[in-house]
Amino acid sequence: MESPARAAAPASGAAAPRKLWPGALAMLAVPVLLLIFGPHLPSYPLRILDMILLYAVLGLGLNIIVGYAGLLDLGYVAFYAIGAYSWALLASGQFDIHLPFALVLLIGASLAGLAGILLGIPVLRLRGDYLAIVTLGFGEIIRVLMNNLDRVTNGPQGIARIDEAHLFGWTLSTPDDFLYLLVAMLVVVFLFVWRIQESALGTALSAVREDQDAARGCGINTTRVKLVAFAFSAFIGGGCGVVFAAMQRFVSPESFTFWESLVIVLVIVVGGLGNPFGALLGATLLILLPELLRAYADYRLLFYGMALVVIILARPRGLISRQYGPSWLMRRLGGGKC
Amino acid sequence: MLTFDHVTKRFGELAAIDDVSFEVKPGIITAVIGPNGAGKSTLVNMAAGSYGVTSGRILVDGVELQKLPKHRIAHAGLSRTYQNIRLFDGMSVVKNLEVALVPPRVGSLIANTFGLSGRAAAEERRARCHAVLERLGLAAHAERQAGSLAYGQQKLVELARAIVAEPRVLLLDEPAAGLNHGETEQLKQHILALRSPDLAMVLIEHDMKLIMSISDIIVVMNRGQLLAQGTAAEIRSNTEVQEAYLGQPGAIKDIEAAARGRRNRVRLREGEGLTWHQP
Amino acid sequence: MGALILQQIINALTVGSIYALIALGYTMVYGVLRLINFAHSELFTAGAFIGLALAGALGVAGHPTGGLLVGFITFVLIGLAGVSVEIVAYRPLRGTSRLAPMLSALGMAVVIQNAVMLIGGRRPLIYPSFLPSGVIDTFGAIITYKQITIFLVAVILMIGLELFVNRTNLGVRIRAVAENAETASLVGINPNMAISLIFFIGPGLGAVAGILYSSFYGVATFTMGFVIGMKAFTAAILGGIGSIPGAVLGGFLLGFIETFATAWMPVLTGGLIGTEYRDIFAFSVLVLILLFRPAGLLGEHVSEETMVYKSDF
Repeated sequence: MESPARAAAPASGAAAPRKLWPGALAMLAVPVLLLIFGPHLPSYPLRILDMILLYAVLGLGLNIIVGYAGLLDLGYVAFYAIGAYSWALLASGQFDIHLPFALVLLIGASLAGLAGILLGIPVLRLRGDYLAIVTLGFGEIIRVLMNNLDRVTNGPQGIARIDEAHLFGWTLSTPDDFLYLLVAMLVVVFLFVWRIQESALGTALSAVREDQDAARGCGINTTRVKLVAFAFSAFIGGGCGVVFAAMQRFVSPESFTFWESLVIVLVIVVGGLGNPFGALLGATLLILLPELLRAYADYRLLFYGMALVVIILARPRGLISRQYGPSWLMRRLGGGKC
Repeated sequence: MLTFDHVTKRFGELAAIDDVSFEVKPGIITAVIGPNGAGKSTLVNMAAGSYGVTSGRILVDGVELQKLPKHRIAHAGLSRTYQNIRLFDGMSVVKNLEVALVPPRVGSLIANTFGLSGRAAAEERRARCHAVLERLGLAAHAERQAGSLAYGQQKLVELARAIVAEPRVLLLDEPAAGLNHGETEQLKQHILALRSPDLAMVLIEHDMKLIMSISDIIVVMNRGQLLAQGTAAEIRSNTEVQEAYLGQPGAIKDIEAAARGRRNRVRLREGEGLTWHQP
Repeated sequence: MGALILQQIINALTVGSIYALIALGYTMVYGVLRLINFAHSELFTAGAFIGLALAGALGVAGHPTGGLLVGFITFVLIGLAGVSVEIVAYRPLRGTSRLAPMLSALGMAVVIQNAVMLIGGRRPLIYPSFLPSGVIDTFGAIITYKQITIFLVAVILMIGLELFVNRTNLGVRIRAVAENAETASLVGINPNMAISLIFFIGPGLGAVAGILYSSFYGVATFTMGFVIGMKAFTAAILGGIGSIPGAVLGGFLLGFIETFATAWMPVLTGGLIGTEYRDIFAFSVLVLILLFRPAGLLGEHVSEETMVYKSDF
């Protein structure tokens, strides 16, 4: 598994680390430790760990559009919902369709990506702010559809008795089955977003974030670049939705409210916008803290709102700022220039 | 070669540019001068695609720019610097330059992201950026955040970003504004060194000393119209230009207004035409 | 048939008045700061709840004249809340990225909504009407006094705002800052003063809209601002964001589109699309306007310096 290091190294050029293995090893430690110790956890903490990993992947996906391109997407949960309902409808008694998990994972993620492109076309050629309001509306519309297309989605009751997922002959039913799947997803998505950051696409997205007009003056087709980022982001959200539905084996519109989108935004704002490590840290804090503070559940959202304002005002870069990403770690541990 | 062909720009009723035609030839430096409001910046902004053109054509080597969206204008070979620096502040200096080299095709961007292609090309792009930084004496700052550099260095980074894609036309919008004497001298050497048979350079500047010392051709604009063009010597002795600046009360007022607007001092020296001095 | 259409026109004017009042707050803030003030919709809700509390405290529930007093006090209180929100959460972020103030605004919206929930409770509250009761039966359509009052109050406030912005010294200052804050400060106008004024008036109008809305439907819930806020923002874009007459036009237009679409879609589609899709019409309007006329109906210039990039596809 030295591929992550090699994948990112060439683009780093002059600032590349001399040795790749220390950084790669440090980063691999996290998934390896999770795989060794995770399955031994009791069921309840294991479920929480699964949720942390799921939100970390969601955070990594949303980061592409919010952290890299600097555009606010307030309806990320819509893509998550599209993925979840894909599995719920294509692998349950609802229409008596029972497609394999791997196929639905691809279908769900692709449908979400397609929705992202269709939604992005009218909005992304405009200035950034409109995306926030359009995605907010889109999230709401998807929820209205889930609630009212009774014949398809079963309305507010949701869809229960969803199939057990099987992946290449391996049954996914217990929380530790999903731990393996989620760790694998995390690694893949992490490498992917890191790769985006280091590639020309990442450079273009950063330019869009910093100064869209100047980026266009430098020859960047900002609309297309944003559209690609938005589609990637939606694709990952959709994939997470499929996994979520397979994990819960039940979906209903209630799981896909605006508050879910808000939590995912918070995951990356708290952790550090534009930093893949930030998504991991943010997801850990945001899933763990409410579990620890159950007695104050009523105040959870109030606290989230305050956290958002306070972090933006006092520490706008989040806990881990943008520059201390995986490439920095590779250089740091590999003896390159920092 | 950059060609303005009967270009007009109206903002509402006001004609900011009124039927202007001239050519900017490669291999030389062409300066555009004139008091504030003469339309110099409008000209640059139209060529770069920031403003639409009301009528007429702007061409780079036969390609009509006014029909292209802004990013395609860059691909057509025109690049520019800005009057007020517009760097990507949060990115490193070398990344700022890489932006200008991002492959235009989105398909290749995606392939690149998945590691399917373009690694060698990415390496080459990076090498080109470093070469340009080297040339402008910025190599030591390559990995620093652009926004953290001193003003004069930022101006140079902007110049580096504008030339890294090897444009056919380079528009320099007041490159010396805000620079001190030493920095201006350094900039002058860099600009002179950029002269090549493949590059048409347009210089918009208020520092008349700089203009007179490096321009091969000077185009004089006044109130949206082309007043005169010629070599520095020709412009200095051109009676029409002197009329415009000295003879007409209106023009004097324009200059005074311009001077007030820029908080500059206007001085007229014999034989040297008009000079604007930055305080 | 005629009566039905007349009835829908009246309903559209009622809901349009409310959208327009809220849209004014969005459009003024966006016009000056280029910021989507997500907290605005929650100040609308807070206004309705404060109105309710005041009605109890003053014992004027159900009195139209008491309603005037309640409306005035609520306007001032929510206006001050709006000013504080700007000073605390937006002002320190001015001139940073465009993302940061939006996130801060989002956080403020969440804070206000949950504060309202913690104080007012999760359950919908029965709302005493401040509006006069009674009906007029014209050509088979029923116009309630409530509807007439809502429309009149909205129109009076809008005319007042228009006069304030165009005829008074303070209003001219606001416009100057909206045009160009830098130039305005050069001629001695303090942009902060103008911005504070905007954050007083906008949320104040929104709060009055909240009272009118809850009085009309007889209920207040802490979540009610969310969808209405989105629609009002759509109305502001529809009219041309940054434009005060645009917000009014957009508000009424959206009222009409929504009322008629909701009424006729089930008929036209044979019941396939029912009234439960009401909220979707506003969203469709938003997407269509962004596709075809992103500067809005009264938006002045479509250029790079405003909103849109042409011919990208």
